Amino acid sequence: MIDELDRRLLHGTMSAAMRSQVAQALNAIAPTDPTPPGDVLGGKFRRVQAGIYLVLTASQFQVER
Amino acid sequence: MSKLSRRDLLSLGGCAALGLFARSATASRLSLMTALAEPLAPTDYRALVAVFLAGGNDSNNMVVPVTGYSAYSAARAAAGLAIPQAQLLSITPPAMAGSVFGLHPELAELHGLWGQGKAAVVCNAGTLVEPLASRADYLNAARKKPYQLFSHSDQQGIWQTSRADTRVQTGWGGRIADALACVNGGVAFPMPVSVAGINLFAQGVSTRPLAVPDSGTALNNVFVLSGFNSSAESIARRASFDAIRGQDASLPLVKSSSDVMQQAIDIGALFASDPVLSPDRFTGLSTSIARQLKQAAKLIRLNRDSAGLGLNRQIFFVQQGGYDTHQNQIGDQVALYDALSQALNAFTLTMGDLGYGDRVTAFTLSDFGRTLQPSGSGASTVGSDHAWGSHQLVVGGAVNGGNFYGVNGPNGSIFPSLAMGNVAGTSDTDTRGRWIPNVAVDQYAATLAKWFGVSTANMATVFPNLHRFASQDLGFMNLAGITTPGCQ
Repeated sequence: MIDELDRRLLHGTMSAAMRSQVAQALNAIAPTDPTPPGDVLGGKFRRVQAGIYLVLTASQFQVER
Repeated sequence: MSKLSRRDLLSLGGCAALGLFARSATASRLSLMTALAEPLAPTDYRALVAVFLAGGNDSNNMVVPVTGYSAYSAARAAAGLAIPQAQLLSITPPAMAGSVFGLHPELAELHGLWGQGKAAVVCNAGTLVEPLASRADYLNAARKKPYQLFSHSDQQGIWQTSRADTRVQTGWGGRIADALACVNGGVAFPMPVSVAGINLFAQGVSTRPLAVPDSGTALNNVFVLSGFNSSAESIARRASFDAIRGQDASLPLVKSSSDVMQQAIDIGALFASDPVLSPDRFTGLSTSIARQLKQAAKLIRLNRDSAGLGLNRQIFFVQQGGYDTHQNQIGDQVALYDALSQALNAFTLTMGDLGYGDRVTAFTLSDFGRTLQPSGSGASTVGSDHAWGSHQLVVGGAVNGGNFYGVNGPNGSIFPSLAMGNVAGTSDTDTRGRWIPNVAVDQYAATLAKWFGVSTANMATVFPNLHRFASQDLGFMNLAGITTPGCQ
C-alpha cells in the first residue's frame, strides 16, 4: 500500500526515512475487517486513511518536484 | 479510490491538517523561521496599528472648516452633502490659530480623545512621488506623479508600500519590521499581524506577517491541529506526522513548507488559551472594525503576559470597508464613523488598562479622499467621487494630540483651500475639488516609524523616496524618552 501511495502521490520519490515513518503509523493500526455496528469501517480502512493523511499533509507532497 | 487529480488532492490535503493554516503560502511567502526562541518580557514595548479605511474616505466631511464654512457649504449644501454647521463637534487646533474646525458628529468618542490630547489630524496627506507645490506643478508633464491616480487598487497599494513611483512587493509595515527585527530578541512570532487578511502593508523583505481572524474567533480556535485523539493509533500517526516534517530538509522548498507548518503549530501552542480583556471595553460593539481591534488588543495582552512571546515591537493591520461612497454618503458615513469612533475609543481605553496607553499608536490610511463637489443630489442618494489627498487620524497617548499637522500648501496653510478650479491658492487638480496632497505617505509613515524606533540610517531603506521631501518628521508623535534601538 505504501508503494501505491508513493507511486500515485509522490511519483516514487518517497524517501526511506519517510516510508519508515508511514509504516510505523500504519503498523499501529490492527488490520481488522469491519465489525458492525461499533467499528463501521475497520482497521484496514483506517490504515488506508492514515496512509493517505500522512502523505497528503507532508511537505514532500505539497511541494511539486 | 475515485479519480482525483493531483490538483484536487493538493487542495484537499493542504487544508486537512490545520483549520485556518494559510494554504496559500507560496514559495515567495515561505518563511525560513527558526524555532520559537527563549521568552523575554517586553522591556520597551511599542505597537503601531494601521487602520485602513478602504474605498476612499471622504475626509471633507470628517474635518470641516467652521471658520470659512461658507466655502464648504457652497460646494456641498445644495446637493445635500454638507454636514450642518450646528452639528459639527468643535475643535480649535493651535496650528490653525484663530480658526475653528468641526469633526463629523458621529466622531464623538474621537472628539473626546482630541480633548484629552490623544488624537491628532494630519491634513491633506496622499500618494506623492515628489512634492507638488501647486496646480501648475501637477499639470506640468515633467513633474512625476503617482501611477494610476484615482484607482482604488493602485492607490491602496501605494498607501501600503509608500512607493508612488513603482509597484513593489513589500509594504512599509513589513519593511519597518525588517529594520527592527533584532528588537524582538529572536522570538520567531511575527512582528506584523494582520487581522484583515494578507496585504502588502505587512509584507517585508524577510518579514512575513501572521494573519488571524477577528475576535469572533477565540485565539485558541485560530490554529487548531484537529484530527488527532488519545487512541494509540492516533498517537502513532501524530508521531509520524511530526517526524516527517523534519525530513528532507535538504530540499529548500520542502523545508520552507515544513517550517511554516511548524510555525503554525508553535503559534497554536502559544494561543492555547484565549486572553481576556478586563474590563472589556468592546462590550456592546459588534462591528467588524471593533472585532478586529479587539483581536489586536487581545494579541497585545497575550504578548505582554505570555512566557513564549514578550515582543518589544508589534505592528497590526485592520481594515474598515465601505468608504467608496459614490452614493448614499450621508447615511453610510454616519454608520462608518460611528463604528470607527467607538472602536478606536474602546481600543485606546484597553491600551490604558494594559499599561500601554502611551505605547500604542493607531493611525488611519485610505485609498484617497473624495471630490468636494458632490456626485448626484438629494440627501438620501448624494455621494462623492474618487480624489486624492485626505486627512488622517492618529490616536494614542504618544500622539501630540489636539492639533493639526502637515505641510503648507499653495494657500500657505496646512489645511487646503476649499476653492475649486483654477483660482489662487487652490489645491484642485481639475474643477471638482480633488486636493493635491501637501503631505506624502512617506512623510506620514516616517514620522510614525521614527517614534517606533527606526534609525535615521534605516529610514532610507524603509522609505526610499523620503529624501525627496523636506520634512521627514511632521511632529505629531511625542518622542520624549523614546529610544532608537542600536541593534538594527
